Amino acid sequence: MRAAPLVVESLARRFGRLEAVVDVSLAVGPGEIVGLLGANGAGKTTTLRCISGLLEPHRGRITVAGADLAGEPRVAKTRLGFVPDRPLLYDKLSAREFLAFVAALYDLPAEAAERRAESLLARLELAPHADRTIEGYSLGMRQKTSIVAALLHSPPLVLLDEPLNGLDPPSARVLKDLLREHAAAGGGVLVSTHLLDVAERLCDRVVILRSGRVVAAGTLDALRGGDARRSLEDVFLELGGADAPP
Amino acid sequence: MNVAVVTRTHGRLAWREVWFAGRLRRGFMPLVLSLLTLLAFGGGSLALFSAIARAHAPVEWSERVLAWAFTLAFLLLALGDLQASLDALVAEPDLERLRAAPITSRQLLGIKLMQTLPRTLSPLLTIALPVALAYARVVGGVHPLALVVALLTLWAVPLGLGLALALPLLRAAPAARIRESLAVLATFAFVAGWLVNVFWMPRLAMNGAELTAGLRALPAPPAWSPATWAAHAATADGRAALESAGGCVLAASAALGLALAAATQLLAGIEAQAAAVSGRRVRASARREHTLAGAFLRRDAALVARDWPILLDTLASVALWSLLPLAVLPVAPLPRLELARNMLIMLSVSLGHDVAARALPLERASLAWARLSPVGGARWVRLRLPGVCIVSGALLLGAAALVCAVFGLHGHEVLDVLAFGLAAVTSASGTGLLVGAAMGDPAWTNPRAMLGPGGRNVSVWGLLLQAGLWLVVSRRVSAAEPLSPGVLLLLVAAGGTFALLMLGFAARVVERREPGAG
Repeated sequence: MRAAPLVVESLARRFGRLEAVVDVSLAVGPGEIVGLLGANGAGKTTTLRCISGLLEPHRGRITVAGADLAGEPRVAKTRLGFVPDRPLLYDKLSAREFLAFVAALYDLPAEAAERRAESLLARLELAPHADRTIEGYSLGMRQKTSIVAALLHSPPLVLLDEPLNGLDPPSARVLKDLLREHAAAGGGVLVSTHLLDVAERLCDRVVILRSGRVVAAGTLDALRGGDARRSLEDVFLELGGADAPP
Repeated sequence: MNVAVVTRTHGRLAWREVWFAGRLRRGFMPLVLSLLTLLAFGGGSLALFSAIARAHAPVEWSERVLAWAFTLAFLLLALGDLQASLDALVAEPDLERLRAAPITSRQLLGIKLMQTLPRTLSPLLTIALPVALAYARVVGGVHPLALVVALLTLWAVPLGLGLALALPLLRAAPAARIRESLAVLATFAFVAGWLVNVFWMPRLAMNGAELTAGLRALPAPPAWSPATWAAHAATADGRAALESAGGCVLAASAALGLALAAATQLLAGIEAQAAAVSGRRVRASARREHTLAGAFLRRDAALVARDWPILLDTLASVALWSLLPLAVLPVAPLPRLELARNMLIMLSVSLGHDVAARALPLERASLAWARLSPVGGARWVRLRLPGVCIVSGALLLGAAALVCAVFGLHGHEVLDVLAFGLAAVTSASGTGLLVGAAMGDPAWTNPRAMLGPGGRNVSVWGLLLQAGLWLVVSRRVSAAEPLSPGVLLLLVAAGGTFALLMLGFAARVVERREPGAG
């Protein structure tokens, strides 16, 4: 049986005296797209950064496709791709050079990585600009480069932090298609967004955070409590919308 | 524009650089160093003015010392801190927001000059003010208002004239090259400042071995310099003081007026140019890297070649450090081999440190890939080493060949000099990587400031300490005769062991370094 792309148990992270994430548990199953919702400062970015390995959790256990992030960090990191809220790119490299470097970081065969990169660049309509240095890219082009980098090694788990920031509508559509295809191939996706209509149309389940804690989790139908007239916005505003900054 | 709110906000931001959320921040270290500099200049000049008074020397000698202290503050502002203002005016990340705000170019210039005040006031508050206060205490006759006018002149003239001259140059630079042009300006300023300092100070120190002779030999500062007018305004009496103060006010107003005019005419265009960087097209190479080490080398080569002012700055800095032993030669004549060895040691320490300390900050926020990817921080640091070694090694070999040719060294002597250089470059690379990992500033805009303010201070002290240690070793073991190959091997091994230790610390820093959380 294939391991769940992501299992998070009792995750906690503090910044000084501020408890940014408190006892968060969640899971992403194979073929599942899970939305991480919450008001500004609810702890979405910190949760994703802990799962990606960028931040060290103070407590809790993170398992990525069967690999414990603390015990086997290299294996776990090979099995995930992360699109951060602010793309981590080298301004003086072109997108193609950057992607070749990322492929080497994940130990991908150069030819196969190049083919995969070209296919993703073409779908996101970045190919004509991919030989220009990134310093001249718009926010959307940077975001697309970051998305290609995260998907390059076809990881079992893809994490995305507000991935639609800066994307034009056609590119946003392509990204949603890519995520659906990834899920259809058995991968898992955890995506944070404040666009509730996107979450409603894209996600199989949502997890709502408030002040760093999970206040609700489940399928959209379950969260609606069987009332089809209630939108995700209604549910969100009841549960997590009035979050005070932690 | 609500000037009061803008001023208050900048004051608050400056304060938070020092103290925030109940903790000392990294701005505290420059403050402490400034205070130490102030005390050193204040104490030193108090002793000097007292000694002059005890020797019943003419008061003109004290005036001359004050004028030179003012000239030093003036030069530091013109050569070093003008760059900070230009950077703030053209390349800071908050410019987009300010350009979108309903403010004029003059107001923007005002905001930026205010924003850089903590930096640009430093030469005045740590050099000019304590020396003037010491003069006032010992000699007397300094009117507070005249002193304020003098300090204002020292601040306004170099910044105003510098901005008025630099803005047209930047307007002429191609859009994509504005940052590079700024960096080249910074390098030239650094080189000029270094040359003045290194070649002038030892000679002054040599003459100053005997105070009276030294002060008698001290030339009068140039009469046309605003720093001289400012000193005269502070020390003269009656009508002469008024005339000098008037001249100072006129010069300061003219300089600031010119800067305002240049900003009104050119600033918007320069900022639009800087914001419109479109990225250059680079040739796609058909060659594929099949190893991670190869991929790192290829990336590093691209980053260094495309951020060429960094390399230029490194070369300038290295060349200048290597001249240091020549500069002190009149003070302490050295045997031929020791001088060659010392030059290469200075060069190697500076080279190793400068190249390595920039290696990790060069990656900016993308250093986060060390945590994000399966590579890991420790391996990431090790993978950066070949690039550092290639650049340092090539420069070291070139410099060693040059030094050996200039001093006519042969056989064992060449081996001796090279071993000292190799040991020094290795140990300095280790400390450089550690300083870069711990104190690198991922948001740097100026290649001279790829480390944070505290990091730059630590870096200079670390560099001087290491160079000092190697120079002492060189003198103690044998100043005139080349060492045996066994001893040389030991030296290289000692440098390598020390570097490995530092590398371990640097790897741990990168492993633990967390990017800011959202």
